[in-house]
Amino acid sequence: MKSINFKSDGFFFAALFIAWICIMYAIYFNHPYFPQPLPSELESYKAAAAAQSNH
Amino acid sequence: MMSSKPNNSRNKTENGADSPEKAKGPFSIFSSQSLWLKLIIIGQMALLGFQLSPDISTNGDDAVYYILGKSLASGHGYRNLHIVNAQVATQYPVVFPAFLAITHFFTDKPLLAKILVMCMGCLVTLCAFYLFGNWLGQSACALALCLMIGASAVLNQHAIELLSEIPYVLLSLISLLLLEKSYKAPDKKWLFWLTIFVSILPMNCRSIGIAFSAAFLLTNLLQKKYKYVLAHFVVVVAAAILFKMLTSWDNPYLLQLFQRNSYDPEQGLASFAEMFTRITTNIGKYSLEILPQNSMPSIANHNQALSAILGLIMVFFIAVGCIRNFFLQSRFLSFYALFYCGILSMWQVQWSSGRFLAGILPPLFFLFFIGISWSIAVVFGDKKHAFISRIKTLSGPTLPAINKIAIICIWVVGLTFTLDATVFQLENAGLRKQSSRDWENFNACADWIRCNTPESAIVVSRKPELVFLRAKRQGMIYQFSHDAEKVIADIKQKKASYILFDGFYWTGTTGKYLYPALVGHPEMYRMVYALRNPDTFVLEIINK
Repeated sequence: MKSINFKSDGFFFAALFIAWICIMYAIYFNHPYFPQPLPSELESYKAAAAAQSNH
Repeated sequence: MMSSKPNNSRNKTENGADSPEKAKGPFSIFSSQSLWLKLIIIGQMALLGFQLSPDISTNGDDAVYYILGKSLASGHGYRNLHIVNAQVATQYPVVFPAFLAITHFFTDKPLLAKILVMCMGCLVTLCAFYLFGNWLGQSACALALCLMIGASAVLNQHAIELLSEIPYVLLSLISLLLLEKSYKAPDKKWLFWLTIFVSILPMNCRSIGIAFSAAFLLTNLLQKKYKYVLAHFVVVVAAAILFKMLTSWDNPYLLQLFQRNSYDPEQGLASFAEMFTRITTNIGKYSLEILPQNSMPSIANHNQALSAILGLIMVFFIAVGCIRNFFLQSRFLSFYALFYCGILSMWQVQWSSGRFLAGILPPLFFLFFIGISWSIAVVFGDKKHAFISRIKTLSGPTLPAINKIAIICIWVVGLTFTLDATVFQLENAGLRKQSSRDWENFNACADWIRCNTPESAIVVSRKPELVFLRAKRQGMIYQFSHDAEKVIADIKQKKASYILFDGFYWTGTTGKYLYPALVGHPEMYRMVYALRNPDTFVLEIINK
């Protein structure tokens, strides 16, 4: 089995890593990290709690 | 196994052209280990890319690492920016946050940091090939080993999160590669000091790296490399003292090691008998459950009995490999595995998981292969000699030439593990990107806090680090105390203004410590935001 050539394989891996980093960055660049909160269920929660306490 | 080392130069003729070997036929390209190594790395990149989620995971530790990196990059020093008053960090070693700090110079989003750790995951496979290939002296076996490491579900899982396991594995492998190179070139002083510098990084990346330093010292002592022993000892002690002087002399990990339960600190410290029970429980758990489940997850997770059998077989060959390896050039790994697993067995059982195994997995796979190949050499060796005689003959300082049966066995094992782990990752890639309902509600509460509270608000929660990243508010964790008044006094003393009351499925600490305190003081707060299934609230503190 033929073995590794550090020089040519080094260049290959450097290029591969750079290309991969760019692809990953491009895919997830616009990912929404800070979405708006879900609508509050405060009123329905209070109503349910009140109904439960009446029982 | 062969004792010769792999030739690191491609076969060439005198004029530099590739040898005629290349032109033998259309399939000769597959005889190139370079090609296979490239395919393994490309395959690992595809697996990692497929599983990546750009969000900070719910683990908590990765958020803390990311925040510490931010603290370093922004010139605040080594501080927990997410905690009120931004105390100096004492629990997390500095090396991984220092790596992450680099990404904060370019972006304020965690994506680049995640890609950095993924690159490290691929570099682990590359370094493992060069290091283990050199020690095995057999490139075919080294490729099988790399295949297992590159496809490992537990290693890849940690390569898509901001946790220190992968940087730790990478630093330990680079350190050993440099050590081998430094042995061969004793005249190069720069290489010697570079080796020493890199060799102290594992201990400053993860606290369990003390096992790496101990193995480094012991191996060099046995090999009479006193220069390396002295230099490593002086530099590692100096670095530890410097770090403690700059931060704090507290050692939370040492305390946690001996606590009965860190989630209920009032239970106190474990007794000698309890520590003994903990060690035996951990040995059983790691051998029969965690090791097989993290090596062949698809099969082991579905069948407990098969998992136990697989675990026993693996532990047997790893133990054989570990003992055999004591007599080889790679003896470092035997000491290292022993020290590492020794510390692991003392850790609180509730934390025992694949995460802690990930740091030692590549060396364990290496010992596993040594164990298999050596056992086959003994069993199928020269039948003219008795069994015991064969063991003695085959226990020299170099491994015997690997035979075809061993190569076939190693490849069958390697391919089976790889296939299983790959299928598991492909099947579960979607699950990793989904949030459970408790986390969805927790995150929505954090989003509400970001949009509806003043920037100076201080938020009490179970995960202040995640609240800091999502809600951009400093906070605190409530005290783990059964004394409700103590919990309330702590909240008041730190002048908290909001409480994020979670409904986490994975922990009961909020119900155990915070709920009784709040029930006793209904005048202290009012509910301002609520979500159901599970019940999760934001409470505003009105009576400070």
